[in-house]
Amino acid sequence: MHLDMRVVLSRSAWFLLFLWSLISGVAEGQSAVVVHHQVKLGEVQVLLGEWQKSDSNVSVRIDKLRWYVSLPPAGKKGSKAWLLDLADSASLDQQMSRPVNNRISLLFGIDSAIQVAGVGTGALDPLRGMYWTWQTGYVQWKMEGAIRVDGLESPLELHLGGFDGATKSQSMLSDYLIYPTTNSVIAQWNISPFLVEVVRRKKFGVMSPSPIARDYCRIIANGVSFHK
Amino acid sequence: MIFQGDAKGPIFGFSGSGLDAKFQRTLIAEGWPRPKYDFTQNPIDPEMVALGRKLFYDVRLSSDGRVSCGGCHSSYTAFAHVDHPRSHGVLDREGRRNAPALMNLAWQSEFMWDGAIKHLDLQSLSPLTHRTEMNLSIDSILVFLKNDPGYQRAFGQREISIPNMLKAFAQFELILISRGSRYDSMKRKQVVFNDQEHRGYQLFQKNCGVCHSEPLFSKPGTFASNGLQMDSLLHDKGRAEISGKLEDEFLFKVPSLRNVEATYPYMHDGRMKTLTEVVKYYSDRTLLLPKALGGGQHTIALNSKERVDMVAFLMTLTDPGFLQNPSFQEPR
Repeated sequence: MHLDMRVVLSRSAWFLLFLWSLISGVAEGQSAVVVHHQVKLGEVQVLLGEWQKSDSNVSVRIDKLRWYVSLPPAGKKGSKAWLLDLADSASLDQQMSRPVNNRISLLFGIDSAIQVAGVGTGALDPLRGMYWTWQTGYVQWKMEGAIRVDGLESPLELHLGGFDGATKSQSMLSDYLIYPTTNSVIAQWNISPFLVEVVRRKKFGVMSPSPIARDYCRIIANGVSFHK
Repeated sequence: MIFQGDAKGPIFGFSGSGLDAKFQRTLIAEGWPRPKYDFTQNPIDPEMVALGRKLFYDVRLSSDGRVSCGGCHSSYTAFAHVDHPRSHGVLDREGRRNAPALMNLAWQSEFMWDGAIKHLDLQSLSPLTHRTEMNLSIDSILVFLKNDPGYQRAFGQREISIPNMLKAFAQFELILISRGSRYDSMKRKQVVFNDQEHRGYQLFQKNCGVCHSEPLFSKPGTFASNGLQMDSLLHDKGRAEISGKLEDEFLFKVPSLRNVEATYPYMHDGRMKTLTEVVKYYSDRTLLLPKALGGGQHTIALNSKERVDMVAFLMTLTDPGFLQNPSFQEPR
């Protein structure tokens, strides 16, 4: 090949490579989606440490609220789970890659394959206080505080989860289709129906996997809706 | 020398992935199943084993500074707890069960008497944080490890973190492989059983093998009832306390009988002191087998002479090299 031709080809190759890197960089920037998680009592934002009415005769004070969402199916350990913490506003902005079909599909809790896959890191590090040390598995919803029903106050301690058999508490949240040009979406967790059920059952303390924990988790999941 | 075993070449189909070659060879023996532990996630490394051993014997990992894992799991007794029926932790708080022996853990996927823990890497969290055992918080353990010069050295280039600590614990426990008993020598045709041992072996295969299957002498992943009455004080319902299922009440993990001579007292709550007592308990008994073992009834019938033969066979499961291995003992 003539030397000049080789130089031209070489320059063209470098230019194409440069162009590709620009395009892919833009695409990468667009590929991220942020899910802003909000926790509400009906229309009212939940505030940590504040007594808030959840019904005419029910008030609740939430001191701690942490929970997991993850991507199905099971991903690599620690790579596809998010620990959301009402006390840590940054954690409520869940950064994730844009879904291939623009459909956001989240699991409330941690997939069972990850739960039994050994020690996790990052969001799944046992140090995060969401691992049941006495048995295998992650607490998927940890809510602590107090509740007043007809003026009678009780501690509220709900450590909910379970992934095996009748205690399986994970559930898929409703799919949400986002616009290809949209980079963020709001996930609203309305816990009012959940608290109605807690009051109905008068079960304010749940500390281990059980059918009650499973039922509570399903009601929590049903209270989630996505918005633009 | 920690590692020993039969060399038969790589297994798992991931030769060269980082699993220590010597250790890999120890996992292979004729007639043994493939290990259940996924070594690709935690490749055996001598430094991690040494760190795990240091952690295992460190009494500072308890709220009163007096209890280590090795306190209940003594290397001289196949890592079982022999001085009391039920094991005790900080401030002499007594638990509900007898600490089980630790060996051949790579072949198990469920741990504790009730199978509460489903992965070896996470098992050590339970005793470390349990109120009646070592009674620490995970946060305080991390602070301690980060501030201790000895652990700063022992972790080396690795991050001092809870996941790395847990993996180190697991690595030390994974090398606790017992396969050097007289029974094993007999299987390798290096020795011949005497008549009494041979009779005991035949009786064992007929009466006990359904649950305590060779070569592990257990049935990993299986929970069974041996007909013991519930302790009226402890009300221990076994597996059902984890699964929540009625049919799991009073089922417990089937323990390995390897080194059983050394792991007294017996049963989940240590209520039997001697092997003779155990064999006598079973010698006229009909057991209900769990579904995992085919269900139905299983009758054991042994006369007094057969009981003696059975105990003679059980003694052949003792692995002196395992019980006295200095590499398993508290580091000096």
